[in-house]
Amino acid sequence: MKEVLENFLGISMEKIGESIAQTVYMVSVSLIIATIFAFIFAILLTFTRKGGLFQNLIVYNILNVVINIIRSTPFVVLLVAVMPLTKALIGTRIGPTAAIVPMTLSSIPFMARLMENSLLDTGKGILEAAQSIGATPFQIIVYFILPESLGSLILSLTTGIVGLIGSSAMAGYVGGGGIGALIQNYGYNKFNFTLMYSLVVLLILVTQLVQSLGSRLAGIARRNK
Amino acid sequence: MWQKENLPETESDSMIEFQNVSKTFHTPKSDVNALKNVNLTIESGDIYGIIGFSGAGKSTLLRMINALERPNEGKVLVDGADINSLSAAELRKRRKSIGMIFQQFQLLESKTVYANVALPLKLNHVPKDQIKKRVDEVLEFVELSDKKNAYPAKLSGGQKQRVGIARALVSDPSILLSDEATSALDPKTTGAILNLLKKINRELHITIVLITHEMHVIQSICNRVAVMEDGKIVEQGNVLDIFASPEQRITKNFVRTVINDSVPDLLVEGIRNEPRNNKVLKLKFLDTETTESVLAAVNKRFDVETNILFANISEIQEKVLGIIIIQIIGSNEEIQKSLSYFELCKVGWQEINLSENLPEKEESA
Repeated sequence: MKEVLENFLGISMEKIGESIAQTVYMVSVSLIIATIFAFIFAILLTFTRKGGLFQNLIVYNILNVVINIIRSTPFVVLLVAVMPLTKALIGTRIGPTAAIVPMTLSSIPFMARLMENSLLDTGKGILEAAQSIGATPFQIIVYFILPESLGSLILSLTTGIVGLIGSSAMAGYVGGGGIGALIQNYGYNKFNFTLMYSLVVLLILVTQLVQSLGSRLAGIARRNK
Repeated sequence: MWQKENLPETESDSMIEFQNVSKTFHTPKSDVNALKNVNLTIESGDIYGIIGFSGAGKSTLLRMINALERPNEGKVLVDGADINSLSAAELRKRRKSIGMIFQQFQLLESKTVYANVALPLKLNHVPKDQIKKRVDEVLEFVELSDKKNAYPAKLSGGQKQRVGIARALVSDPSILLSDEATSALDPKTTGAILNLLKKINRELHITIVLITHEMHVIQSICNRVAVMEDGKIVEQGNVLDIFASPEQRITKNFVRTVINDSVPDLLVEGIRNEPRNNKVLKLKFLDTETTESVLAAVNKRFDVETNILFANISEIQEKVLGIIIIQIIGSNEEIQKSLSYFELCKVGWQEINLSENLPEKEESA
């Protein structure tokens, strides 16, 4: 079985396994870091916006502009542009760990926007009810906003993961490793189109899987609505 | 029952006091004066109704009681304390004794009825067994024990409002604020919810402040009412008095939505064609059983003939308000005697000029 596959793809299964592991590593670490920051920013955006619970237009506008700047920078440009930062943080500019820096950085504003939209789904009325009960800001987030927007947040997260899988493939171009690099170096550059298309199909399947899993979970979270 | 042990002990009777309160919302286009120099006193035990059209400022006014809105000028005293001078923590504590219910219920859709009602106690770190006891008690009070484990989406509007009320009652408040709580409900459910509010006021001794645009809500449960227009309170007082003798035009229109007192068009022609000397009068009987005997006596004692054109009897605050429109036929002198007799019997009268659409001319009593 393994030999048949290796002959078909023209590459060792170990190599493929290693690439998959790298991709999983890059995606999951960036996902965790990006989710944490994106959530904090999303909360800040929802609370400080005009008419928000703690309206503070200075904080809101600064955050807004920074997010827009990063979001409008193409990822390939960002990949190269943050290299000095990557070097300073990780100590190297190449490899999967180094790729995590631009991946996370591009993902934070994207996911912050998605999550902001999810959080805004929690109506102003519910927040008023929370305040009238005497809830602290922290309690409002934990007991009111989170449970009410959970389904929507899961969908945002899913979109975030799919986006990260895409950027992990691009990170491969600049020596990030992972499946993207495999497609580039062993598929495209060596005219091994069987390998290239097989890996593309694999990425499509994974994306589909993540998306339907996310939709399913979001559906469960929303089952009572 | 719990309500006995936790009666709010206040030194003075004034529970909520607005002192020269003004509020302006700044929008890019213009400044909106939501409240203009409002003075209002709500006493402990009141069911105080604030009525007005949308945009009159009643919602802003209500939200100032629990400081969801803050005034630009003036003071809002709740139970003697200036609610806007409290620290954030003190305010949160104070808010726990001010329940609030909403037109759109504002329940957590992701939580069961039980969890929704338990939430205020959970936020207060009340032990689980106490929460259970209290939530069961409150759910029973609002007659929703059987829906304990249901999710809000499975409930009717009336049931959702009962959950909202239970959530507001669970932390044993002394004030309940009602933001158009029945406006999204059908008439039958509205009646049931209003009865529940009345029961809350009577049995739990909770002061209720409600805002509405429906005069029948005021008529069914309030003892005092304030009429708002354009950010100002234009008329306020005892509900019975306001219904019996509304002064402002807007108040008259509101009263007319529940107590129709206009002469049916079909009759107007016949009245005009009456060849004999006559007047059309609106008589007002307040909590009296003498309606018929007064009219009978007038017919008997004086040389007049009376025709009843229209009659409406309403119950307000468990008192009867009767509005009767009559045509009184006779000489001016005899009619004048009858009018004096009405005054003697404490029946208010008012002449109606049929050529005017809005029947207000002279008034007495």
